Amino acid sequence: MQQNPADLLREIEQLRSRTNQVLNHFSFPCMLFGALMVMGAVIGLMAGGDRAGIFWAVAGPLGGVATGLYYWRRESKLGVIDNPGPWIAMSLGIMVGCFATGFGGAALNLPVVSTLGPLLCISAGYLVFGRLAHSTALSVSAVALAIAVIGMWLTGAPDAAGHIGSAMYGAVTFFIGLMHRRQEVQV
Amino acid sequence: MTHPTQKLDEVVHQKTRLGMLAILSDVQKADFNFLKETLTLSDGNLSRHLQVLEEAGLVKLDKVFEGKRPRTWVSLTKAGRSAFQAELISLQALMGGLEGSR
Repeated sequence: MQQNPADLLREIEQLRSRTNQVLNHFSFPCMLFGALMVMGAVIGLMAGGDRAGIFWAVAGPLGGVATGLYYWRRESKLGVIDNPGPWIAMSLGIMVGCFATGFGGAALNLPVVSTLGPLLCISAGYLVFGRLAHSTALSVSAVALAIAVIGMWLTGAPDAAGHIGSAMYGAVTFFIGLMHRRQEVQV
Repeated sequence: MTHPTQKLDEVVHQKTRLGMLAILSDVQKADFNFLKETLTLSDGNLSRHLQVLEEAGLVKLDKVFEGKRPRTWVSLTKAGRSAFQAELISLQALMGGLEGSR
């Protein structure tokens, strides 16, 4: 590193960005939860929303544990551990928001809440996720998907907004994960 | 008014140690090998700098055994984080002063 203040600041920035690049890996949770969302949509279409709810009550926490284990193993191998706080808060926020709006809306017989609520919670979570992971693709997808499902709901296709919307979220999430995997530092 | 150079901390301002603090400022902790490879330092050189930072209370060293393998994890202390932020502010002030004098 050079001693000139401008060079020092530039090199500090380079070191920080190199470290963030090593840590910036989100293909696993995207591909896992993307696939789960598509499965949840298929279960919802074939067996109804209640079965899809049960599926998520099991798959959601299991997916969370799998993601936690994945990050712990990967970062231990790399020798650098990210601050987990913001990621845990974001994941819990999505999970609690989805369950509260999904089950709460169903219990109160408010289909607009039970159908759109979970998907919009995911979009809100993706906006935070996009910011944390410095991913424009995630942020743009979050907004585009939210607009798409609200549009489907407003154009008189509430069932499509629920199940097809969920499948859309899943497919887009999986695809973003797949694309990002190419840029990630492999261990 | 104090000149920005007087606010530079000798322990922090040293280029290699500043690099170590820059890496640690964004993570929970990093291990000895990660720091060594990222900063392209030798074992002895890194150890010496870590010792200086630890004695100044800027980093915390955790020596653990993972299986039979020893591993040293390094994390920034609260004082280390503040010192790094203060150094960044001083460097920016210095840069501002240099540009102003042109």
